[in-house]
Formats: sequence, structure tokens, C-alpha cells
Amino acid sequence: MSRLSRDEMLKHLPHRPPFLFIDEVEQLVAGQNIKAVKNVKAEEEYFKGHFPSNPIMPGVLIIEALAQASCVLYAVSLPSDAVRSYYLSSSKIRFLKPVIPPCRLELHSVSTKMVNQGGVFKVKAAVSNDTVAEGEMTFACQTQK
Amino acid sequence: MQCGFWFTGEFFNFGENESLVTSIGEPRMNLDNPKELETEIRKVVEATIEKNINALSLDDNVLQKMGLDSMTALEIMAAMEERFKIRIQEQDLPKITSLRSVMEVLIKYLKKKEIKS
Repeated sequence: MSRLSRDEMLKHLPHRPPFLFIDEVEQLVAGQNIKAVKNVKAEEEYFKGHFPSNPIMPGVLIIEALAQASCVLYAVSLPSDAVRSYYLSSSKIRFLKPVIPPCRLELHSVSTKMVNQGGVFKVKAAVSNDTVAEGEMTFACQTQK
Repeated sequence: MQCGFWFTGEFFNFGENESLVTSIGEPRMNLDNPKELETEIRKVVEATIEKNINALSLDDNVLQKMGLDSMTALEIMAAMEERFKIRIQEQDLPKITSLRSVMEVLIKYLKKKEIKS
């Protein structure tokens, strides 16, 4: 089980601010699972509109954070020198509790299947060990020429 | 030490060097009864794509007929692995087209599994 520094994490992930939704990787077992973290801060731009005076992290961004954590797991598990792009193909996520800043959003992903074309993952997001969202997602991976 | 988390009734083990453990029991499948296998395959496909496939014949292309994208084949493959407790090789992914071809792939892996056990 390994931990990745932010720099190491970014080597495996094409996403960058303002569309980077994981801050660190706390645990990773290649081919199996990952636990990443997003420190959700009240100052983040999207909270200005979602919603004024009532900040709640949008569900689509929780999905994005879970997908990015899964991308890191995928990239570490199936290493390649090629530049990769990831396309979310499906997500079946149930949202259980609102994510209100400031908080530490834990992002868990367990690989169900990973092949060169993409991967299928079971995912869960939690705050203070309380599950806030869980489900499954599939993404396609394409290498850029 | 066991560490992991619960996922809709199944416990996913996070222990290092341990494989995924679920609470679902080992399914028993009579390979001499293709109808039984077909019924199970239909159930898994329907649960995966969330659509009724009663109208599909064994030889219909599931993705084309149901208007699904190619990544759905990967989801079906993963769901079959989970249901039948097998690991399907990536080279067999292009064969996930019709119910009959899925059945042929599964029979190959389930026979290997029987021999091992």
C-alpha cells in the first residue's frame, strides 16, 4: 500500500486546476483500490453560486472527484508512457448526505475491472467516516497520438 | 487486520495483498444445462444495462439492439466476473456482443474453473 505525493499524483492525472478535485492520495494498492482526499474549502469558486449563503458541494463535482481518484488508480495499475484522456461513460451514484465546506472529503474507489480501453469501479465518498455518496462508474481511456 | 468499507451490503476488503472479498456466495452453475446459463446471463445483462432484454434473441448484438455504447461491454464483462467469480481476459472483451457469444466465453472460463477446483 503506498501514498502518493501531490507531484506523483499529478504525473498520473491529466486534470489540472480549476478542474482538479483531489488533493492527495493517502492509500493506493495498484490493481485494487485507492483512497484519495479532497479538502473542500468555502472559498472555492463554485460555492458562490451553489448556493449563495448556503454552500453545498454539487453532486456532479463529487462524481468528478471520485472519477479522478479512479483515474489515478487506473494509471498506476496500468502504467503507460502515452498521454491519456479519460471519458466518463456511466455513473450510477446515490447521494446520501450534503457535503458542506469546510470538510475533508474522502474518495474511495475499488477496481472491478481495468483493461486498456477503460475501467469499471465501485466508489464511495465520505466525510468523517459518514458515507455521503456511493455507487459505480465506468470510464473509457484513450491515448493521444 | 481487516480494513475496508461497506458498499450496499457487500464488504470490500482494503487489506494489502488481499483480493476483493464479497459476501455473495459461490454460484453453482450446471454447464450441461445451457438454458440455465442463458437465464443467468440475461439476468446479469438486464441488471447491468437496466433494460428489459426479453425481446433479444441469442444472436442479436446486445449493444446495437439496445442502443448502448462500447463501454457497456466492459460493464457486462465486469458484472459476469462478479456473478460467476471468474476473471475474464481482456482479449475476450470483443466477444462480448451477443448473448450466445457471452455464453461461449463464460463456458470457457467456467470449465477452466471446474478443472482447477
